[in-house]
Amino acid sequence: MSTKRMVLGFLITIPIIALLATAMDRDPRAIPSPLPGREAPSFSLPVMLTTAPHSVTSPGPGEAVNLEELRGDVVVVNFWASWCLSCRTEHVPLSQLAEQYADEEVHFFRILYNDRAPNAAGLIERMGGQSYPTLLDTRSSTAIQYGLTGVPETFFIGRDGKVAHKQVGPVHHDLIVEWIERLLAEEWSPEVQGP
Amino acid sequence: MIQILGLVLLLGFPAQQVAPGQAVVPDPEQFEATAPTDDPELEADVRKLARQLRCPTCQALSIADSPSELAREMEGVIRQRLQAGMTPEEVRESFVASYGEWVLLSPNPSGFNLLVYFLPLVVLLIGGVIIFVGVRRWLLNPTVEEAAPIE
Repeated sequence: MSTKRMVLGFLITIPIIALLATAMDRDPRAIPSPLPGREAPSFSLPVMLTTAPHSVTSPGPGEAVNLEELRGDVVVVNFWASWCLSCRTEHVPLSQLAEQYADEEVHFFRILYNDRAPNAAGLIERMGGQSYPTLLDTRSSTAIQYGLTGVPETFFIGRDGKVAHKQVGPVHHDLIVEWIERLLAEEWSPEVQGP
Repeated sequence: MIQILGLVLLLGFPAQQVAPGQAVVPDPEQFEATAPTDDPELEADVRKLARQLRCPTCQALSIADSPSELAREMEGVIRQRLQAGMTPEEVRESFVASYGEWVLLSPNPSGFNLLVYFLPLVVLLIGGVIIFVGVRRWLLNPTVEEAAPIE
């Protein structure tokens, strides 16, 4: 085979192999989210139910939770539904950790997605309650703002109000702790970074 | 003690009247807010945008073609944003801001995406050149190497 043909063969096959190798490294079902690193979409949603004692930082049913007002604190937002089996597995670690971090600058919220409130309330009761509020998102407008593609999905929001991480699928104890500790350790000053 | 014992199951119970300790049930009237309107121009814009956006819970279906509940909600959000005065381009970009360019069924012709638009043309061009050069060479010198006779 002549050198010319060999070079031509390499020039054609190498880009094709490189393209295939890049594509093989990616999960075709994974949908990359543009939100991490960006300002978390604001929301003001009513609390559907909570089993935590009501306080200024832990609103009761019917009261609104406004994300803007939590700037400076770490916020964990979990989208779920009672028909979602994976959402049940993360219920215990989320509820336990919400209790564990209750005295720190960390807030946990669950947002109900594509579900009926009585079904969600019934399931929470059967699972022994929930130590933090579930919020109602009628018309899924907040879910759409967060680019939800299914449940469960969890967003970790830093003190600066930016989405630090989006977890698709159920979260577990160690992952939640890792992100909360990382975000709590971050320096944040409202004077410097603005409201 | 779980505080959902006083669960209010009546649909349409306004959130403002719910006492602490009761669960709130969404008002069904809120779901009507994004229903199709009588404005043909607005509905045409809604349909056009819905055909351009990918349904996140389906396989390669647009919002307009998808029967899923999320697709209907997204269509409602399109309508709501257009009614709020956003231009179709702004509405499109607002969905890209939430879902990324993935949400567009036809990616924007810029950056790396240009490959999708131009690569087929480039491949076609290279193929054409190869065929042209090969045919020309064959026409100018149509001698075919004879196979060695089998002994």
